[in-house]
Amino acid sequence: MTRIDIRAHVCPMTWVRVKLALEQLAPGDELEVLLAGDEPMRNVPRSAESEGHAVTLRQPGEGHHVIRIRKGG
Amino acid sequence: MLAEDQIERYARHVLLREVGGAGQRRLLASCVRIHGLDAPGAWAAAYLALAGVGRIELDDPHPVDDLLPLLDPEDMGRPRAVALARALPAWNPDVHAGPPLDRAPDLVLRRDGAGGGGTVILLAGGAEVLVAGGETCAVCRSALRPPASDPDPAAAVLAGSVAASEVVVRLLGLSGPRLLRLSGGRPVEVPPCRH
Repeated sequence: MTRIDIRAHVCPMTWVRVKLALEQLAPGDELEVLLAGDEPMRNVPRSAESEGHAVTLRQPGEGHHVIRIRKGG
Repeated sequence: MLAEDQIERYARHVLLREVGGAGQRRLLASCVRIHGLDAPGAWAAAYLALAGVGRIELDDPHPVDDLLPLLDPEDMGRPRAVALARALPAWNPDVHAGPPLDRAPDLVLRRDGAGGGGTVILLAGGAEVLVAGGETCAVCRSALRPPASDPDPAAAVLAGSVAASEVVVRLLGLSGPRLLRLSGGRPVEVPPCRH
């Protein structure tokens, strides 16, 4: 599975980088995203779903969170 | 793939659903030729450079007689195409600007009323601005006469930005040729002709 670490970024660069990573995948492929902070944890899944992708995992954690996005289309 | 500095530079474009990284790469690989670099044409060139159109070909032998914010005092009297070819990469280092090459560009932007396939026409005078696809029919285009007066400075900036937007929309394949008239400062699409 492709993984991307966006803990160093603030919104909206968080979604920008996830979107660019998703573009490199085929429909149905999954992307695992390591992120930090409440704002990215809210914004990235919402943006992904609004562009037709499915969020298959939301795993909040202590220092960081993990989500998985399945590319739509 | 976009380079790291390009991700930062074009982040706002990438966010747009209709653009994304793929659309931005398409713009970076595109070539637009601009005939006529008075204020509206020069502003169109500037906005296209900021949009990330990778190659902008410039055609206008007339000397600079109006120092737009794009240009330096030394540019006064220099051929407009030469002055802008120097200025545009300073606004966006991804842009190559220079004279037209033999290879056909992806799109042509013209300040006169001449046109054909793959052309966007920009007419601006006083506060009137028209942006038309060159494929607009001959009857409709006969009504597009270059305005008698020079555009006022505000209209020139607006005209350039609307024309640049129209070029970008065409390069991304989001729209076919159409006719836009600025009404009250906002572009209004004129319904397709029935001629």
